[in-house]
Amino acid sequence: MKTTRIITLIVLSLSLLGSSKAQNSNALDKLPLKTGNEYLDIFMANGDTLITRPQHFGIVNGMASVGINHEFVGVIDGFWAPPYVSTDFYIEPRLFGERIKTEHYTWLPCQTKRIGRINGIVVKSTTTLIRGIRGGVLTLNLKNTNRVKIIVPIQFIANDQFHNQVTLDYVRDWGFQQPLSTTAVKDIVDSKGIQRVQGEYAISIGGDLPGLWWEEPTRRFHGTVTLGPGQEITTSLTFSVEKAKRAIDERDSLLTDPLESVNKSMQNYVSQVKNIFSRLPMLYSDNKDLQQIYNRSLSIFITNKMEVPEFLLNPYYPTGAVKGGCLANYLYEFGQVREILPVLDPAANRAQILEFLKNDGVNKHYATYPITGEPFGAWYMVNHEKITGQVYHYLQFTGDTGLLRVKVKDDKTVLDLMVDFALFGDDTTKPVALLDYTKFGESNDHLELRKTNLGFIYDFVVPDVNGRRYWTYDKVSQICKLAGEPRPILMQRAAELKALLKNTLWNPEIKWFNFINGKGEKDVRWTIQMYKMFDHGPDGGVLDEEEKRGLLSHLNEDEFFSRYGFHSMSKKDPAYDQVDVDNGGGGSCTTFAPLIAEFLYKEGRAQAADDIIGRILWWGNRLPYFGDTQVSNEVDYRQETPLQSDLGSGCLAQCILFGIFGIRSDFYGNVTINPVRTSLANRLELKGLKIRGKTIDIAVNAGKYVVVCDGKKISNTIGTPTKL
Amino acid sequence: MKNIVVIVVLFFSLISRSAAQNNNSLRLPLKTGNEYLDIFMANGDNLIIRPQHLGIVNGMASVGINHQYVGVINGLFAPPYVSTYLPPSLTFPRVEKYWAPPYTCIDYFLEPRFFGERVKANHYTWLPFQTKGVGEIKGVKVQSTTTLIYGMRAGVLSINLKNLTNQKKQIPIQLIANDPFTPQLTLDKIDVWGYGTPQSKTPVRNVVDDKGIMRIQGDYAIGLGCNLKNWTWEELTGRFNSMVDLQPGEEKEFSVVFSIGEKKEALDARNAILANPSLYVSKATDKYISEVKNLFDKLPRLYSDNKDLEQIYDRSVMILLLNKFEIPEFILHPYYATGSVNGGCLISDLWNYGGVSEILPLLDPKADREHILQFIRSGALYNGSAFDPITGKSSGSWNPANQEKIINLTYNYVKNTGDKGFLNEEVNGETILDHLIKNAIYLDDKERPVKLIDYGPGGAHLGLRREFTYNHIMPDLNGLRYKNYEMVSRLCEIAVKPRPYLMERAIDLKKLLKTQLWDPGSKWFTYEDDKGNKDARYTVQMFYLLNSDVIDKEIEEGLISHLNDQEFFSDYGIHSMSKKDSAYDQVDIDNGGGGTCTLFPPEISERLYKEGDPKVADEIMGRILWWGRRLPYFGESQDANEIEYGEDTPLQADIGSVTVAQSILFGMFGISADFNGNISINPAKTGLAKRLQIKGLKIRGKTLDVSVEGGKYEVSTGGKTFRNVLGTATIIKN
Repeated sequence: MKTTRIITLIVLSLSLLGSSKAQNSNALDKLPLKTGNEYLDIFMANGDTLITRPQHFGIVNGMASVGINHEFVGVIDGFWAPPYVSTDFYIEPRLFGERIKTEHYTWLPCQTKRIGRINGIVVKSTTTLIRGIRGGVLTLNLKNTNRVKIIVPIQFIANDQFHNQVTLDYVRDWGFQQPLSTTAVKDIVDSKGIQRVQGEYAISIGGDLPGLWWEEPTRRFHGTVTLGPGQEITTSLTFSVEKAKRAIDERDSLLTDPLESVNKSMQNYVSQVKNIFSRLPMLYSDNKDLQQIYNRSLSIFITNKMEVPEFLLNPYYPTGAVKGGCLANYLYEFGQVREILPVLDPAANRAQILEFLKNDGVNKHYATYPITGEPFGAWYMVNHEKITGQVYHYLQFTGDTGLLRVKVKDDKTVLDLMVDFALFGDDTTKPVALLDYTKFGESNDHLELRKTNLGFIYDFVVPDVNGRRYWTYDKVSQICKLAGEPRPILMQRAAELKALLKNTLWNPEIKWFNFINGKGEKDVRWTIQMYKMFDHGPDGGVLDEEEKRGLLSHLNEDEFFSRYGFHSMSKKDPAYDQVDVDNGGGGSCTTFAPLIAEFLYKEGRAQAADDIIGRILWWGNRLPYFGDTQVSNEVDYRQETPLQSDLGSGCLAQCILFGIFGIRSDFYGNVTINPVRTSLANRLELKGLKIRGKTIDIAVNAGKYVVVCDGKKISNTIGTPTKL
Repeated sequence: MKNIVVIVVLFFSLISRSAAQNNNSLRLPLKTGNEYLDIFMANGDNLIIRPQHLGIVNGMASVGINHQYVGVINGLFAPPYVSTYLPPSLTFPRVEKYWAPPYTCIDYFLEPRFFGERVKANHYTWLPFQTKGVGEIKGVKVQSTTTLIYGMRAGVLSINLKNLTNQKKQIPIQLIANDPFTPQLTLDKIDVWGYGTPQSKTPVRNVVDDKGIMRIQGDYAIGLGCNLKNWTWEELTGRFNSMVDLQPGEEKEFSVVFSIGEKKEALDARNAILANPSLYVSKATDKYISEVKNLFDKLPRLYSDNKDLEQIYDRSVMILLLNKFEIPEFILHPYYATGSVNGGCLISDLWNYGGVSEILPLLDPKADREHILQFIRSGALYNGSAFDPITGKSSGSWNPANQEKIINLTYNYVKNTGDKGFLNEEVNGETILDHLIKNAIYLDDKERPVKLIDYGPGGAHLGLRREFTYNHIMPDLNGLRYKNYEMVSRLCEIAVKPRPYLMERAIDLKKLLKTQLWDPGSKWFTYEDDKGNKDARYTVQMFYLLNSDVIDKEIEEGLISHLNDQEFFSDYGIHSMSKKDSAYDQVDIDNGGGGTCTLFPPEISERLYKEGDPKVADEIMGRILWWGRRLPYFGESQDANEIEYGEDTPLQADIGSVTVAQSILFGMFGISADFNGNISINPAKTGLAKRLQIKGLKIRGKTLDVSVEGGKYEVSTGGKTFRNVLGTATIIKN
């Protein structure tokens, strides 16, 4: 009896202590990670776990992006709202003359919250970009936790500490880099705040704090708040960029009820998230990292979906989005979401395919500008494979064969162009040959190795790009059959190419492919690109079993693997360069690991694929969005790129859906489900996959799986496909 | 029942103690029990310094410290060597950068990673020669101590790991030795150290040995060694890899040693330290303590009920330890550089050095004398603004304040040491006194009536970034000539070589200044261009004319009337340009408006204390008291309307910042020596503290303690105590 009492008391005490501790630690220091609205929470990132540096952090609302310095409460740094840009746009709240160190922060694609404290005042900021406008609201909530009344001097600094005058520009061509503004604004003070005018355009800033006043020489708003013990207040600063009058109107409109604007915007955000999950399934698993990386991968279709009136396409999925980095559309990145985008947004996918085809975007350039649609840059030697993949999978997942008959250029149809691309560089009057890619005009270097100046190259006759021609022949051949215009020559040449590749470049000694340099000599470069030749599935492909086994034998920790990823260059290659993260060694482009894993899952080599995916599962918890490259031997990402939210990273979810769950559709709408035996999770479940008019749920557990399609339940063992 | 209560209370106590312990385990101690070790310790929680500006120095080398992460070092500056790293981003615990004059390695980088990650610092502390950081990852507490070893261009990064969980931990460790943007480290020997941080650019070659690696560039090398068991160096990825196993509650420590210099010197230093790193850290700590003791053996301790005042005094005095170099390749031993941390501004700039004029003769008269001589010897007075520490040669372009600075330095040196013989010492074929006379009448034709000098169209005096000017006939520079005449005239008398014309010209100058440039309407001086056009520039420089007979009461009151919140004052300082001046530029902190050079507020307040206007002096000092708690050292400029400092400068530890302590001693306490060795003590009626005390002031052979409280003060010296009311000076006769 006594013991029971003691235990009860201890349990009670523990529970009391626990709740008191939780109150202490959560009440002021932490922001909520759960709101009760599953759609609002699903893409929320917890700042405590993120490794993104402040200079790479930002939010987006489909029309604009601002930089967020998450180290301090409320700081906004840079404003990119195409076609307008103000790189030195800056808002920094200071209380008692100080910035407030952030104790915790959260991120959503269009909103961040930060919390900190100073002199007993808890300060919480909420920065929201308002849906449908190039503007936003910065809300500050101040709570006095002291037992005495406090007078809080507030400053909102509106110029950063290195620029005497903010600049603003209209920029037409948004390419790879973040555009830079250079033209100074003129500040005009009005009753609600200031207008920062540059020609026809303006940034408007206003505040609702009573008594707020603008000090022009020091470029800041000043105000004072008096807070009694326990008292709290909320005040907002609104900002917008537009043509001058509209900028003022939008600012004023936001100022009438900033919190209501934020509420409405967040409701719109929730509907955007719902829209994604009304087309793509939810993933549930006992492996929470897998769940997280899947969700994080899908959130790229929110951050990188833009609806800008001045853009040629609406919606438009740029290659990058956050902080105006890489708003162009690169065929390379677009090509990485070839299966998932037609399921999510087939109309946008179709429009973008046509845009690339219209403008020589394939044979001469690598990307198009969002406003003019004009192509730019040198061409990538993988362009043909990328556009073929897009068209092929678009047809599979939509059944829209009409696309093939669309005339796009010089009276040529999409189908004609597909055939041209398959035969690019190929003289069909002669036996098939391996292409020297230096002979087709100015192409972008395939790997862009930084150590090229030290003599390390991978150029001329390269095996992976030549090998991938097989895939292109094959897919275009299938498309031709679908169109009722078979081209048997394509698969004949594919077969010849396969034999030629092995005879010419396969080196059985090292179990790797050589390349032939400019002097006609054979050389070797241990690049991750070689694994892209696995892209074919179990039906064959350019590699035979000897080659496949040979290549896979190099997937080990002495060569391509490290604890946190898949290296783009073997650690044994003297060309390995830790700093050259994307293709030079230190890590790899974000899309490489999931794409190769997907190829291997489809190939039936789940163990090797798991080995890749298992190493990168950390991404989902540690990054709010995935940039162009991740490091493999560190929990880190590539910093020196403006492309910090890469559309191609949608291929992670793609790998899970089409690789791990083995979802396929043929051109005729027949859907197959064939999950792999993965060691990454004991339990996997997809709910609400919508494909070719069917709604499908899949649950995988203990070597078996169940498919529920339009209410019909089918059970099978792993390894046996379910055909719908 | 009683038993139950006892059990519950005990249980609670245990739980809360354990919670407190967990919380405390990620905090570093701020008190060690050794007052000399603690006095300059800075608590990272309070500091606003950015990671790229934090560094440590040991008199021979400096490394950059990224305080956001545990153990990260970037950049090594060890004159003449440098290996620097300019981070595009901010990180922690790294030791970043390595500056060891004359060697420099700008991309020097050490970043420990555990489980592939940098460890965010939960807390850090700073001492001039050592920083500590602590954080936690996956239940493992990680604590780093980065120490530069005195007498060597070398240091130790010690890492202590403790398993806080109940499970065994296997911890993969990486020590990344190349920064994320540079495939190969660079190292150079730099013979001329200027204002900026020197850059290295010649790549090293890595040679692995059984203790670590040597990163060799020609005859020089950086040594890197590690006493962690089973480490491997992975050349292609530029890092050490290892694994540490920790049982529950277990802790282990390992050290990484780095050195720079001639190949053999670097190798020997690395190997010697690696044999017993903790011994070297302990010796370095002892040496540091002795340096601090030496400082306070010669300068007094300050005690007050105003702890901010105490703190800013200590922090200010510390610069004389931080910027003191003992480098064989340098021309002076010791050498007091203008800057020190992260290799920034290792020259000796006369303008900044001029700030130490009263205090350095008390601390290190020999070094002060040598520096004065070198300024004269180098020719910098007429052709430059600084001398280089290795060559001793003049550098930079002429600063119109040079003449005032050298005169003031010499005047105070002779006054505060009694070394009158110095005036007769010859340099470049002339006596010091002759040099000073030349400087007093520089640009002045003594055969003609005195004129206001036209300093030309250049804007170097304020260095304004925008289109606004302040040049040609400037009132402040011309006004300062009065003191030059006055001080040199006095020195001539001391040397029994009177030059009466100097004071005659001073008096004429005073009249001319008022007649030509004073504008009673605006209560401010105008300046005049070469065409006779007058304009006004509301620059803080004008207040340097306070406590000088060049201005009369009307002018003094006029100038002071502008010290208000609408013009020169903001909550956190004094602005270098009035907020009402159209030239005000928030970004141009030092002279353009956003704040001021660090020296300005203490120097102006000192003048006001001496002038007998403690209220206005207090107004200035009271606004800047935050500096002491929020910065580990003071760079060249501080903001006035924010708790912030000038970021875009390599000079983050400015020798001139000792003027804060100088203002307290010579202004607030009114300490003054005359040429005959008589000491006057005349404390000001300050509102900044109720109680003020200095202990152990050593001046002209006397040791004094001064206590101020309740409108009275007492001075104790040589066993005697003198009591007086504030406002009445106490004279201690020689």
